[in-house]
Amino acid sequence: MTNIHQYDVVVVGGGGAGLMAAMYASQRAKTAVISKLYPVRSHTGAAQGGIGAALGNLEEDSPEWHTFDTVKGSDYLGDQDAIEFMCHEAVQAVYDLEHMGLPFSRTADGRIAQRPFGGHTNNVTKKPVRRACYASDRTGHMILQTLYQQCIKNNILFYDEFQAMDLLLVDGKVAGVVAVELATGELHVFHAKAVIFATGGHGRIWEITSNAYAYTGDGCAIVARRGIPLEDMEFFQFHPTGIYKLGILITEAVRGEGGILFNKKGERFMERYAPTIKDLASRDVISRAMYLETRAGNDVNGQRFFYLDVTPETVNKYAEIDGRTRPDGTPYRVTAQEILSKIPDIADFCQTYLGIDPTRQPIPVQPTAHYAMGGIPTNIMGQVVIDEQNTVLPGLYAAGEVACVSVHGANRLGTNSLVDLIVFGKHSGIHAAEFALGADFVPLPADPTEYVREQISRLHAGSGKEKAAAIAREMKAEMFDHVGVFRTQEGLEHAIQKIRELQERFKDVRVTDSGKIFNMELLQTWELGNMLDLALVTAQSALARTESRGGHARDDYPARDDVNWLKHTLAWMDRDQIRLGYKPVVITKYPPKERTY
Amino acid sequence: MSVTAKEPEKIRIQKNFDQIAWMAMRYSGVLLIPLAFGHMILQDVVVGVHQITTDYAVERMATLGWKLYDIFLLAFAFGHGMNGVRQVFRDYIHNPRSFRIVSSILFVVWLVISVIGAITLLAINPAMGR
Amino acid sequence: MQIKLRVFRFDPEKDQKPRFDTFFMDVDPNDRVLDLLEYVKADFDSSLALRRSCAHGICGSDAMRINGRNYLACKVLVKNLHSDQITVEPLLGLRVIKDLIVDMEPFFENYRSVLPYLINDEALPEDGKERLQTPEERDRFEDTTKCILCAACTTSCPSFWSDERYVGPAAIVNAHRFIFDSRDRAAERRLNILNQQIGVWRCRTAFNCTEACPREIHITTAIAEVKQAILSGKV
Repeated sequence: MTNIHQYDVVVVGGGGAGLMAAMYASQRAKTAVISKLYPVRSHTGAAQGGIGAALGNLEEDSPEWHTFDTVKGSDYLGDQDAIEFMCHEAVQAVYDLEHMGLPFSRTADGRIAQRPFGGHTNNVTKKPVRRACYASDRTGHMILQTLYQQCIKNNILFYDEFQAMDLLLVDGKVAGVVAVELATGELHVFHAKAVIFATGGHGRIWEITSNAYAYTGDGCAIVARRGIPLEDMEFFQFHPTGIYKLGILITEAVRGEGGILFNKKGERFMERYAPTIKDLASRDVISRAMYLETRAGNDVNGQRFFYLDVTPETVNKYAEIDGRTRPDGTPYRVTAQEILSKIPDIADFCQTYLGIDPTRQPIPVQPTAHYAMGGIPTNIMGQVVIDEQNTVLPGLYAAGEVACVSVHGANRLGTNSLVDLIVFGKHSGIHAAEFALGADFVPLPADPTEYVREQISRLHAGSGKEKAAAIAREMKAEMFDHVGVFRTQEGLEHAIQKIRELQERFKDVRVTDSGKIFNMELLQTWELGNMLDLALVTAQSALARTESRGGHARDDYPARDDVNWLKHTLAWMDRDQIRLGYKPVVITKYPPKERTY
Repeated sequence: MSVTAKEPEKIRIQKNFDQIAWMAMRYSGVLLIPLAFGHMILQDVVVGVHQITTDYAVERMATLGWKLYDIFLLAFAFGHGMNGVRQVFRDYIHNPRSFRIVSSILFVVWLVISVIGAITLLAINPAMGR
Repeated sequence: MQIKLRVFRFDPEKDQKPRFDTFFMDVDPNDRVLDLLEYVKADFDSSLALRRSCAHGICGSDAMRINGRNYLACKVLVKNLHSDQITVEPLLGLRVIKDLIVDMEPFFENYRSVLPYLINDEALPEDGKERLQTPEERDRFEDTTKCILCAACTTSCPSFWSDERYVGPAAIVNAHRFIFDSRDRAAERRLNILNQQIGVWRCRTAFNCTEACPREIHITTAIAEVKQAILSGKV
């Protein structure tokens, strides 16, 4: 039995971008949100640091500076018109959040508190500027909660625990989406004038990741199967210090407080890779160094991890060697108590998950897959654009991590993920409602659920020779080894071959649970199919790009190549083949320069 | 300093039985502490259990002060207990009407026992001793 | 280490009544209980159904009963249970739908009933900027902003077990978060909602909620503050 619903706007995904879009769309159009998780379970909640906006509450700042920092951080691959738009809109967006009730931390005079963050600078003095607006160390959590609260207040209609599985396109126009209700296994057709995808990222295709289990790239996979290209998929941010095996982030502040990275020989290896700033080098540099150390066999126990040591003895020893001083000129020396007071949450994570006190023992860390810069290509109104000429697909929108506007280019600056959600969530919602009011419903295809039924029956009809868990394990390991922080032609070719092989083997997977009610095995097996597709797109895009830029580091092409590669990748999934195309980067005020900090 | 200049809000809360019952539990609990401790210290420490005889009880109960003391002790302890029983019943009786009936019965039981106790205590006179 | 893992199983489409499946496995003492359940899914029985997402204690998906106590499965390690026998069951007090998945709707309905959102119809500051609030005013409700709506507290509460109409600790925590926010103007409405039999008066200070909270919110204190506000008429 199929249930058919009709809405002007359907939002897929209940995280920060989806809720923001739903709130603004519902002001004018009949709107519903479908989400595979309860919205408050979304991964927006895991963000800690802050949301960047040039409020200037504590010192001089301006959206222009924020724009330049973001352009530079993107290694000049970000579209400068979009970045400028985002950084200017960010200010009002943060005030909007405050008016909705977000409990920002406050300055002594009652304004929103701000703190410095990596890459955010005063463009005149080049010194760090306090731009990240924060709510304790739970900024993402508070954004998600506040938006959900406002959605309850405004009676937004939610279809919780509904998994979107297909996008309906008729004659190049949006007709709706098909979703399965997890609680019953029934298919639902959402007939809509406009659809907004806000389904988040796909970090789960890598073995070690800070991403949630839910981050399986469903949105990208769904639209790609319907002929829409994916942009800049080779750019994925790896954070160097995730907790060993778990991938949970250890903030850069630990190294800021004097923490040192060691390999198994007790050697401070960053000295060799970044002789000047050593352990405080940027994320991509350290992640790359760790990879090289692993390849040289210098990882601890051969288990691909390193030690991040923030015990007072170590901090003080190396502070003395480095001649590090405090601002008043006295030698930099710390006590255990002082360290604890600076990183209470990290101490809590270490205590909970490793059972160690970071002021007494070193923390085992390794690079962790963190954030997708690439995704569904959109313009600044969130409209999905489907080719090199940026042709708009009427009625289709994307916002948040799933989208690629592109404001993050080759490397995202800290705090900008939350800015992206809020700004582009809002504008895609506003624009989708406006579009829906001026458009008619596109008639549904004769059998709207056909493709979904076909996908589901295929998952039940496999021979059962292969296990989904084994394929997932192999994919994640392969991606981490060859399409991770460090890439070579040989490795990427190996990965492509391996993923194709896994895709073949995936056809022999059989879902054993034949039930309808909460068939999580079916859902997770389908998600694995999505991840395999995105893994292939990522590897193919990475193989083609013969340069190193931001999050994409090639051993065989170590330099940035603006002559040939200052352009966005577009990747189409044509049946079993990946077809690549390219479109230019929008450059307005800031011509590309060498990126040094 | 309040930078939001929020007017001290005058909050009007509708009184209701559950709020009163909750407060009654607290107040009777607080009152029971001196009453019960006073009783215990007097009987078990000052007088001592071996000295408690009918004569002693009658003699003590003949004074109006002790009559009132014990009436209060009975009424509050029993009321406190019955309110507790009412709370326990609430876990099992979900129909509001049934619960009202049960609460009323508990109240009547409390009232009857307390009144009988009070009458009995008041009726004690020195002539009853031997 | 070798452990014996017992997992509550119930498939509404096949089973008349629930059962326990037992798995013997070799695990790392530092494994999360969630990891064990993932091992079960990968290597023993892929049909096991549970909710999980972030896997580090922030999304609130995987609250469940582990050796008789409510935890987030992703925030408790095997070694912290001090036992080589681990029993995993769904949350108490909510209807079991399948295996470890319970019906969360009564929980969210209770949450929605306390107006868990900022209410302030006064004009915004003329400069369009933020409403002001001192750090002290914010500290007043800081603790209750940490709630992730995992339901570990509410489903550990004996009063909720006996009657799911009781709003429960999580709803009171979220009411507290707004009642004591200096920017909010609807404390009176919320306090009147909570001033009833199925509101705060159902709380008997068992402290189970405070012990169960994976975010270490002082829930019983928050409930006591709401009771105080109702009795005194002051926030």
